[in-house]
Amino acid sequence: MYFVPAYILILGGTIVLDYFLGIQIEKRGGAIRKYFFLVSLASNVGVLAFFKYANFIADNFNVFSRYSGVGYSLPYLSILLPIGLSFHTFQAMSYIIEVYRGNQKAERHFGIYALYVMFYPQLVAGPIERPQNLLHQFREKHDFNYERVTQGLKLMAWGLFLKVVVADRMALLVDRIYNDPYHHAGPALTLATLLFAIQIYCDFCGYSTIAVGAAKVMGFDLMQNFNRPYQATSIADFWRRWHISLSTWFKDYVYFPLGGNRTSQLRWAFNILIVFTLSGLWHGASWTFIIWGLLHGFYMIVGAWVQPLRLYVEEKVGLNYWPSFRLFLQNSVVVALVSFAWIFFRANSFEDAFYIVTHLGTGWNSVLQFPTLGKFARLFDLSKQTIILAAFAATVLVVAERIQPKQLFSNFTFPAYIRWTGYYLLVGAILFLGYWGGDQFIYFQF
Amino acid sequence: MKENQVKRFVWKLLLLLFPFTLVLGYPLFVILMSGETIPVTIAAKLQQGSSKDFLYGPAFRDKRSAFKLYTTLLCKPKILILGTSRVMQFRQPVFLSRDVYNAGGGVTYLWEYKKFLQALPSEQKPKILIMGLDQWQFNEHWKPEKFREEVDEWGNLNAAPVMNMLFNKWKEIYKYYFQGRISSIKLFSNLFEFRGIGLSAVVENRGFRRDGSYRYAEMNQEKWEKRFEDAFDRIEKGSDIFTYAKDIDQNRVSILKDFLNYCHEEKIEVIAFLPPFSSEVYERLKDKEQGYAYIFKIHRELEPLFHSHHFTFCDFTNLAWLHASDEETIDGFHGSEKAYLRILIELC
Repeated sequence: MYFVPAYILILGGTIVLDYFLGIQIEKRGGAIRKYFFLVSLASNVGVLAFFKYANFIADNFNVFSRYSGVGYSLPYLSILLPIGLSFHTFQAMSYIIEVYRGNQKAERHFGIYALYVMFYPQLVAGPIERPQNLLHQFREKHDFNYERVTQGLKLMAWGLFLKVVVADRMALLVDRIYNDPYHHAGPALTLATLLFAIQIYCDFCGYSTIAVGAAKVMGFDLMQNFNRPYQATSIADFWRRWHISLSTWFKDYVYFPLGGNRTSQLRWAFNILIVFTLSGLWHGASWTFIIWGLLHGFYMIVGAWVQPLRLYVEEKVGLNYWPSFRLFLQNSVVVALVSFAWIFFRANSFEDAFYIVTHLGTGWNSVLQFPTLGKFARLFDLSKQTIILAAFAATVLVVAERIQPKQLFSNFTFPAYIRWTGYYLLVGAILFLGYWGGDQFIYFQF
Repeated sequence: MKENQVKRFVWKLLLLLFPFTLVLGYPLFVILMSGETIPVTIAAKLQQGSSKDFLYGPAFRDKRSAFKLYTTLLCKPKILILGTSRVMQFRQPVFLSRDVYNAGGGVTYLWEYKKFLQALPSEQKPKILIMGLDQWQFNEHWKPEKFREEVDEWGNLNAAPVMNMLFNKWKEIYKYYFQGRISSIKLFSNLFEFRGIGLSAVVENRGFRRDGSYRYAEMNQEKWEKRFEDAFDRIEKGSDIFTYAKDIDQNRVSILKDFLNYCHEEKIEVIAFLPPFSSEVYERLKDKEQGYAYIFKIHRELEPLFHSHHFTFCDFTNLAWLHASDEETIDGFHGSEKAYLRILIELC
């Protein structure tokens, strides 16, 4: 993924088209209205499909053609993915759909509409905003407000901490294993998978937090994109906490129009699989992403179908009398399932993912042989300092997630000396413990 | 009221950032004054375009491959010297022709030789290629992951982000400062009497000359006496470039064969050699012949490949074969400029 100046024309083109079509959809009625709506959807999906999926489609078609003897091959295109395409395309589609549904008035001011699509804090990696939340804010006056600006800066600092101190440190450990899984056994593969779960959360949540903070400094409120997802007690709960802007987008614009859960069980399961397959595909043009999405769909379906049995067992075993332990168990199961699915998200190929999955259970008798930090560090071929820093970063993350209120920094009423100590430690940690090796945000590739 | 809020905000921000500015101020000065972040392409152009032969010696950013490639494109040499750090000692003044460039340090792995030449336009391909082949490049246990798929070694040629370098290297800079290796006066005076680009060039007079050869820093007596210890240590452990192996890796021989075919097609005459170890290191390798059996098979196995194209291939694995003593070494596997003069004489 690169920044190619000419690609601004693509963004410009879709903005002009959607601006014009949005007004026409509001003005017109009948079939022509629907026609404009479909043209807008087709152009947005078309641009996304061309840049993101053309080579994936070609690849799969060519494999099919080879095995079926069709004898025709699609060419591969040398094109680069425009930065943030998946995000601003979905944001633009959200606008058109809401205008079509009558929930949002079409924006008449071209500059404000363009700003809605291109608002820089969330242009490249979300959150994917709704027009009802964002558009009106561009018309409001935003004076300097000390509390709001400092709140925004605190969010940006926290986001940067998550990214450069936690996520990028985890990446050093994860990459060692995932870039060459064939030389590692169960313990290393399992640990790398769990660390990747932390890495991707901190990477993406870090970016989102910076985006929300940057917008807040300027006086704009963006939606919260993460709500401590690894504290979820079910897969459905996880998806109410993880990448909230995307999951609500799919819920409102794909799941509900398909019928949601107001259908037969079988149809509902089908709807879930469609939504999660599309979600996987949105993340990347690769079968590993599709499998990742399908796994989550499968988790949702099985979770719903076995719920009565699960509740029955919990009651019989008496788990209801230990609510904390019950929550801990539920949470552990969710983390395990989600982490397992991350294998397909992170693996460099389907073959790598298959190897990792089939070797998770191997070599566990050797885990007792590396109880020392030195041996553990050698497992990852990294220094002890890196391992300690990674462990420290993960600990800070876990503690912060446990003690923070729902809205980060919104209710910090500690005495000044505690707050300022915290600020110095946070900025110091970013500057002096951060890994500045140049890893880009994972979600930039989308 | 708003003005008061802004003032309050600015004062508090300054209060927050002031201690960090104090700590990071000196490293920032060092990075900016030494030119560490100057893009590789600009550094190459400055060096080749200058009337003064100054050194290019960055301390924090290793873009040797890109620097050597870009300079080769600028110089368009008829005689190109290519290899790892073990060919960096050849100097242009000893050649009759001025059309010589030493791209030593421009490659590390066998497949990079072809990649380097392929990056040159047809009309800029050299007529003669003098190449050094490190013995461990034929060791299957040495860096196998680098041979599984090609890695983009050219990387980013643009300016290194100053803040990234600052946050990554500030501790190292203070370490060097307290070791007495950084002189602020030398850094500041570089603005007036330009000595080089990069911290190593400016404060230690160490880096690449205009002809591509490398100027090493002066060694004190203690360092001189211990210069083989690193090699001895690695031989004992069988680590890194001294990883043990019995046989030559045939996959890597195939890579070399493909490269020689490419040179033949491009009408490039190849003069290749195996660079020397110091005699003391060579004797240690011989003592562990079981561990390093592949080294003693290289010349015999590869010579026919060169001979089939009428190319030259010489074996200088032991410095003593050049009638040189270990005084003509920099460390256990890098000979001095005098040793490499002897190599040139033998190649002629």
